[in-house]
Amino acid sequence: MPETQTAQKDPVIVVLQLTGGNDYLNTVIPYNNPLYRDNRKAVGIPDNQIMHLDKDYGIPHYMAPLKQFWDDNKLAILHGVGWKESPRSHFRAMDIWHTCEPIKVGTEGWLGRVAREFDPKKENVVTTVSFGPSLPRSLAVPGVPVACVAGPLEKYGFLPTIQGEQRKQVLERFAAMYKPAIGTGPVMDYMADTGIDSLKGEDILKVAPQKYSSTVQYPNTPIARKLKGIAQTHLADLGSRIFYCDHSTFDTHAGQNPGHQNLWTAVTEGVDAFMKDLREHDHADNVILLMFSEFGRRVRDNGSGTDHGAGGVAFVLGEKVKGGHYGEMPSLKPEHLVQGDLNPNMDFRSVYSTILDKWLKLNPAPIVNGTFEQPAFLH
Amino acid sequence: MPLTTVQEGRVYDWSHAVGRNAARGPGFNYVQSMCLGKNGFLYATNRGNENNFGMHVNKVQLGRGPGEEEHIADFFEYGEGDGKCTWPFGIAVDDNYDVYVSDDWTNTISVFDSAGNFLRKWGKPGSGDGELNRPAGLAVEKNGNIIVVDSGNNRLQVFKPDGTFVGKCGGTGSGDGQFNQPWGITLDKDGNIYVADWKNHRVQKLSPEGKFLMKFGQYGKVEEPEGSYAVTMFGPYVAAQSETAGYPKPGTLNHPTDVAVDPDGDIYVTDWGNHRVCVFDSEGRPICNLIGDAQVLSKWGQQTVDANPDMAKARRRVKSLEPQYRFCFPTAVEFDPATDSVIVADSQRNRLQIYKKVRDYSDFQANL
Amino acid sequence: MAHQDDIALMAHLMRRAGFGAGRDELEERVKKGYEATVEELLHPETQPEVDAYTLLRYQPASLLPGGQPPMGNVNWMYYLVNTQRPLEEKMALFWHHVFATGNSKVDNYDQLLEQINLFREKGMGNYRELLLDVAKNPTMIFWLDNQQNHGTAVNENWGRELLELFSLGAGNYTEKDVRECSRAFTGWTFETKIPRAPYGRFPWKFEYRPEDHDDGEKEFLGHKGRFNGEDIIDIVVQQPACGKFICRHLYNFFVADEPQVPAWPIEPPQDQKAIDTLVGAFRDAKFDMKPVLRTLFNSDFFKNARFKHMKSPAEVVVGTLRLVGGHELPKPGIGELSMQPTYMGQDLLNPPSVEGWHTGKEWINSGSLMARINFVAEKVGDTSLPGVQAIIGRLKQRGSLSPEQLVDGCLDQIGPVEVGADTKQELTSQAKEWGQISWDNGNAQIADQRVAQMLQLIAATREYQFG
Repeated sequence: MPETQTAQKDPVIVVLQLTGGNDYLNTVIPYNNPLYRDNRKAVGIPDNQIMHLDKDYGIPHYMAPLKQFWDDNKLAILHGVGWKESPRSHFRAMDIWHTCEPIKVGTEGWLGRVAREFDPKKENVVTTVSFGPSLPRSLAVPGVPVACVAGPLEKYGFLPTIQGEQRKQVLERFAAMYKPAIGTGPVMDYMADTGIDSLKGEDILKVAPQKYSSTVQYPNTPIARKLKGIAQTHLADLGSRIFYCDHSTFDTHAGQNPGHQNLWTAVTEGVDAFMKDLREHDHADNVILLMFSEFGRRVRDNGSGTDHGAGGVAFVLGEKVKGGHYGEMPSLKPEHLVQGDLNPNMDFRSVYSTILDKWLKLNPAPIVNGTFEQPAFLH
Repeated sequence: MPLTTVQEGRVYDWSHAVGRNAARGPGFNYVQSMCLGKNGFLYATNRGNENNFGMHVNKVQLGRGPGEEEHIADFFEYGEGDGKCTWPFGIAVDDNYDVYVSDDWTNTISVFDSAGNFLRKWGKPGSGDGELNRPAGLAVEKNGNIIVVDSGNNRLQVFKPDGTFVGKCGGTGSGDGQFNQPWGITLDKDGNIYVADWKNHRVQKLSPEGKFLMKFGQYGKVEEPEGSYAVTMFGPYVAAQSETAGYPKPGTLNHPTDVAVDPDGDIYVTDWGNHRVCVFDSEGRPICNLIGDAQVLSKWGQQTVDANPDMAKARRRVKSLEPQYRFCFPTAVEFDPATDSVIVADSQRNRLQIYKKVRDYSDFQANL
Repeated sequence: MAHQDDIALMAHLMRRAGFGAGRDELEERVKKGYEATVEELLHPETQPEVDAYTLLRYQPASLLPGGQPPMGNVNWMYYLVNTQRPLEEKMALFWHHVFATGNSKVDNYDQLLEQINLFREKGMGNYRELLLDVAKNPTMIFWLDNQQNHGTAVNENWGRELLELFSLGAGNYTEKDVRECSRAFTGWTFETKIPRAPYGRFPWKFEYRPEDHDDGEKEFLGHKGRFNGEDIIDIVVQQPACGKFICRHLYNFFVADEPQVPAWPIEPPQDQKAIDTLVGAFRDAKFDMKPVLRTLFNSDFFKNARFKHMKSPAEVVVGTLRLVGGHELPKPGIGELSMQPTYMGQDLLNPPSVEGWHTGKEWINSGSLMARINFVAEKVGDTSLPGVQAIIGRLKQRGSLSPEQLVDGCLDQIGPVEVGADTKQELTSQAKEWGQISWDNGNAQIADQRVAQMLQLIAATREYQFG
């Protein structure tokens, strides 16, 4: 594990994935554009429920916590994010975001590559911590360890159903059973190492909730619980550099208005609590948070919701973020739409490239598979 | 299949479709059963999926013809506690406009007012009197009592509106008056009971007292005809040669799910596994089949297509839209005497298909 | 009572040719005999098929699950857990490893399930027929872009993978063969399907478009002619490399872990004789899979390969669910259960790429090890589940158990599982902490708990990860 002192200063990235395809147009609303109203007869956000960011754009009232970040100049809005041939498939689109491989099926995740750069010798098994049961492909690189926290951080570890006095004893047995033994062969040795590494991860992460205390109250939502886990881990100075979580499902084909409201209320309240928590502990300076979704949604609503689209919006927020609009919203004019969708005008790898280059101090090209323009949203 | 079906003095004319695939709001999501309320209201239970998404009851004003449908309300959505569901199944409305819904996972019957406000519920798991095991279809008797198809216990149970146990009939088996995982239920104007005896592939008719009167239907299904288009792995099959290839012979059933009876005594059965509605006369003799004829998009379906130019484009490139006309696992059927309509819940297509029973049909000249 | 080694061998057969079996079933099968059991497995038609209608009654969304998990996973998991034709389902899983096709691109679990059903129905039939069906399978066509393989503009994706991953293996053809092979499959496409909006999904249908087919002469693997796709397949299956490649897959899947597929051109098989035997059967049977499988399961190299195969996540999850029981009728929560292999690194119906999953020790990393151990431990530690009750019931018959008896009894009942001496010593030390356990005098609940905890500890061993 790296020295605590350096770990504290190392830049950290938190990714919050908005799974399902977030509706760009109801997230950053071009409220003066008559085409917005024309296309959003059923799911448009009424004027009196829009919080204006400036003369062109607003956010729905249910994203209110983001307004403060905007006013403080700590929220970057990345417009028209996507790529040229955006597929309307959740999986394929998400895969492309994860692997930076729009043409073939990629197998290495961009953040997995980042983790490999940070910790090539795999000295810290909690360099990357993902909150959720499955490993997102963006973190997946063979041989790069990721701690996947499926439930509450307090319960992270082997055999969580065995608790109380039995637990310590049983885990000691476990450690003993996984100690390398002579003559059992390379596979058994490998498993022994892996088991012991995981136990180490459990020991390391277990400290986080124990050390944690805060005056910040998180809402009782799945995303807030995940963000709280991230805060606990980050505040414990364990050398974790990459955190991942997601919230779903933004796939608002039907009943969009109440649905989108619930989703963004949960996300923005959670993010707000998270950043407050970090600030309270003077641990906010080295963290940025990226929120993205695999695609935006159709420009025209379907009478109750919106279907899969192309160009979307991403957000980066944090103390060191230079707030403002980056890029511009693609035209809503019918002649500019592609199959009824906003034509993406900012490659998602541009967003990654800025983060890699300016924040994580890594060469972006080998990670995102190419050189892309870098919007300057970081100080 | 022609839009108008003429058989043995009966004429069924396809009218229109209502619905589209939607987890909530205007549309349906795997309808398990439905019922008609007063004044043209229709209630449907939607099963949803394992993301705990889409399960609810929706209330729809059907109107009298195409394009008149309006979505009114969604209630009984997924969750824990009063007014929430896990697996909504059967539904019925009583004379006070109260709505009864069964939940075949929590083994309860919940009651709502016509606006969808929760009133009360009853039921607990078990096989004793008043206990339930995967309750399915519901029906309201003239006296206001509720008949519950207690499917896992292979019996019918009768309750007062407050949930007091009144009586039961049935038992496990394939004999007369016995059931094997029954699904839907309906009553005729005399209070006779018709049950879709799902795993026995038949319909049973019982007296209002629960005495066995009649059964009809026997198991039958066809294998995929050569060269046909399988709309799903389990049919329906759209064959090039004949529109009825891929459907078994009249009178056979494959997991029937629901029954309706019209004022003339004709009986409609959703032949779920065979993707059709079988019409029987009052003696249980097969008359004709309806296989789905949705050649015109529903109002809400058209809205979806209008919002999605790529879907609209693809539809124009399709060689034949016929697979879309057909029923796919129809789960429920109702007859609305006010409009002389046969209303079919086309479950896997998330819509209703509505046929009119035409009584004053005069034939045209054959040499047109 | 059956001889202990017969039980152990039958357990091995059922783990490999299926997804394991409880003790009652194992004893029944031992009575029936090993070879008779192999025959039964090879003739799935003698056993009832899975009742799909019951699944669809309770989980209608699993018929046309669309692009989002978990309803597609639910569908297959229901089959895997409830099938009485275990080898049929195991072969579907085998071919899914070989013809790896993923939802990440297909975005349509309906079509993937249809492909799995093809493997289910034809997976034990003739490999040539299967390969031809796969070539015509729209899901595969889309996955490997063959709808973009035109007479005037060749797309080599399918043509290449057919040779590299589905039949011959790298090094057994030239780049020119790839080109010519791809030309032969021009015009193999599918009809435009009815789009999913507004009523839900419709399937693709294979279409051959002669006007888009390059009917010119091709030179492929030493043969010359105006080949079409079917001719190519006929040439391919005749290649000696084809039998070797498929049989090495069978060996890796059913017998013992081999290196990953990309290493095969470099690293020879660990048991060349075994591969030769299988290849001989494959050739003699004219590519019929059944005689090959019969040879495999009845061979000594198979019988001697106990615990030489790292269980795949699918084997872990399905085996555990079949062991603990209670999933005959669909229940809420089957969605989460169906995603368990995903959490362990095997996202069924969505392999990471056309190369399929890396197997053997590569199933194990710190996250996946924890996921698999915790899943199995949660299930076998739940004394309310019928399969766990059955294990407890059998141990209970002895009234009370010494620490050694508890360890041996649990290892026997959950497998039989063989563990190393060191592991056994640790298990025994733990059991000694608990002392003699007994179901007498109100101690039953504690005794039940001790059995459950010992089962959990066994599930956590390294040895238990092998099958």
